Amino acid sequence: MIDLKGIHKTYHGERSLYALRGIDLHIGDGEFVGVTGPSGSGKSTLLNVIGLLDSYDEGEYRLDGRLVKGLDREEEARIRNQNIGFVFQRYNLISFKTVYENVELPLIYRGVPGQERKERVMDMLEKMELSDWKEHIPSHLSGGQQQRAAIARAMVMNPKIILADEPTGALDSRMTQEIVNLFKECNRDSNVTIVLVTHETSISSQLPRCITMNDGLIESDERR
Amino acid sequence: MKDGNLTPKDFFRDILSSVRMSRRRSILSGIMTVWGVFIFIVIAGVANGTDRGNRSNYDYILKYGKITILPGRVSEPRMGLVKGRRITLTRSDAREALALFSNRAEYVFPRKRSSAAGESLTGSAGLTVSDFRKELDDKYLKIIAGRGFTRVELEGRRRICILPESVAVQLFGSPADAVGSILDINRLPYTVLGVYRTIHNVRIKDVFVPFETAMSMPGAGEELSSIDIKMFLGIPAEEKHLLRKDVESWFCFRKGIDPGDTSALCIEENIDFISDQEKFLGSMRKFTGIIGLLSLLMSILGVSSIVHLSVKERTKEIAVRLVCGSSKGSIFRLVLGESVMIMLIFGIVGMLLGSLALDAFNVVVDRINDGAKWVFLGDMTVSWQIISSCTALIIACGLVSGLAPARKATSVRINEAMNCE
Repeated sequence: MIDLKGIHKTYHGERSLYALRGIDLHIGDGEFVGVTGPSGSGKSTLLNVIGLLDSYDEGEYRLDGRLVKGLDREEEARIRNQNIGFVFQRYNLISFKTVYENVELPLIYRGVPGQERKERVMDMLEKMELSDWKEHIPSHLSGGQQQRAAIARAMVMNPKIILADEPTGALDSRMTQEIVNLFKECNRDSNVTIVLVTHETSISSQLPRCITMNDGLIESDERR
Repeated sequence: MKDGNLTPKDFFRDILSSVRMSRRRSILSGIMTVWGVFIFIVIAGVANGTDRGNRSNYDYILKYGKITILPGRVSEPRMGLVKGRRITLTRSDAREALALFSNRAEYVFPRKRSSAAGESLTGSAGLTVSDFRKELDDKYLKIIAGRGFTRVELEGRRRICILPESVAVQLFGSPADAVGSILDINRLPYTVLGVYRTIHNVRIKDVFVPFETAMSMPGAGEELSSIDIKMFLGIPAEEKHLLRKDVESWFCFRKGIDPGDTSALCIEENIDFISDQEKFLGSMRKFTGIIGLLSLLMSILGVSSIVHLSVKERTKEIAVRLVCGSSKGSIFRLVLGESVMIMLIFGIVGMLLGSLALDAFNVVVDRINDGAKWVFLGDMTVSWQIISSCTALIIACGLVSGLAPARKATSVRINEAMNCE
């Protein structure tokens, strides 16, 4: 599913910052991988590169067998929409849209017809236990509910991959476990590949595969 | 539909949601747009009114064409006569002119202006005039008390006069009281026959006495100030032009003047005034057009800066849309659409308010213009062509306002935007 070979990424500024320094990584279909490491180790940069949110300088990246270097922006947007769901620490729901409209957004951009769109959104909201909150705007929801809405938005397109960047960073321990369980459920039921960046060992220890990064390099890759 | 784009329904729904979300910002840009368009429409209406008012005045002038002959001094020696010779117009010139042009002109007016008793006097008598009231009417005056001169009075050198309303009120208390009273002009008693009022916008304060009477005053002599030749109603422009040429040739021949010597004899046609007016109005139109466009430009700048701010505030939302599969083109159209929609909705409000204001102005102007033969402002209503051009201009302004912010929106870096607060 995800194949990275010798990926380098440097942020240029007054002082060059080497974020990724030759990453070799293979993540197969349906895997649930945790990425952990100290701040500035390159976890989020790796996730951004995998999710086509950021470019890389050197190396080769194949997504589902396809080389993604040199794609135009529109093609990148299409790949993201069809293959990847994103979950962020700060939920990133659109504040003036209802929960229903937020979950519906990727389907609109995918051009899914109205009736099918409605059914898929309602199914997903039911699965995330958010049906009663569908007409509410995000600020009316608790942090856990907002994150569930963000996961619903990521899952509604039936993506092949979900990339989650510190999805529990803003939640308490009970909510954190609830969200981790939800990811496990998605992974088990839909066979979706999940890459979850976290700095919490309580989460990474629960995952079947855990990659530890340090200073832009993979320090360890443990399978359980 | 192509992937990454919104359906038209979702497109408008998203724009409306965004406008609703940032109500204060939208209202602020709305006020700027309403004001800009309002001013533009009012200026267009006033320009229209000025144009129509003047055109209606021209219609009057074109209908009642008039040639005025004014004497001057010759600029070149001719036929043994010296340079700088003073040209004089006399009563016999007027009589001869009447005899010659009587079949082509309605009246020939000899005129003499003098000053007496602190008032400017206009001695006037048409050599064929039988009723002075007609002349008064044609000159935008009307008798409000008493009557005009009769033919017998005009030819009989009677000491009679017609006063303007202001003089009658000042001297006798009211126009009615003035009629029949005696007025001292140059130490001679004149009976007030009537009182006239100028129709709006015309400022004449002359005391009228019969021409023959005025010419019989001590020291009046034969000399005239000018001769007016009034043409028949509605004669074609070519015929007017021809008559002017003939009058010019005749006077030049009679006075021994070179036809090209414009300083010796000034022959003015009231139609000349139109071209001067047209030139003035053309400049005014350009000026008002610039003011109107400037007010629209201010709206563009206002809306553009507000939409720009909106894009800055919505960086994260734009990034979320991109993450959810939106194409950059869709984001570009969304921001541009928002700008156009704000300008269009509020622009229509501005046009409606502008049209209502012009309707109100029209009511006032109609009252002022009632009965006037000379108007400064006509109907100010703006045409559908102006409304549709204004709508097109508003859409263009919306596009211009939204262009820079839309370009900025498409350059959002997703990963940076997602992590910003």
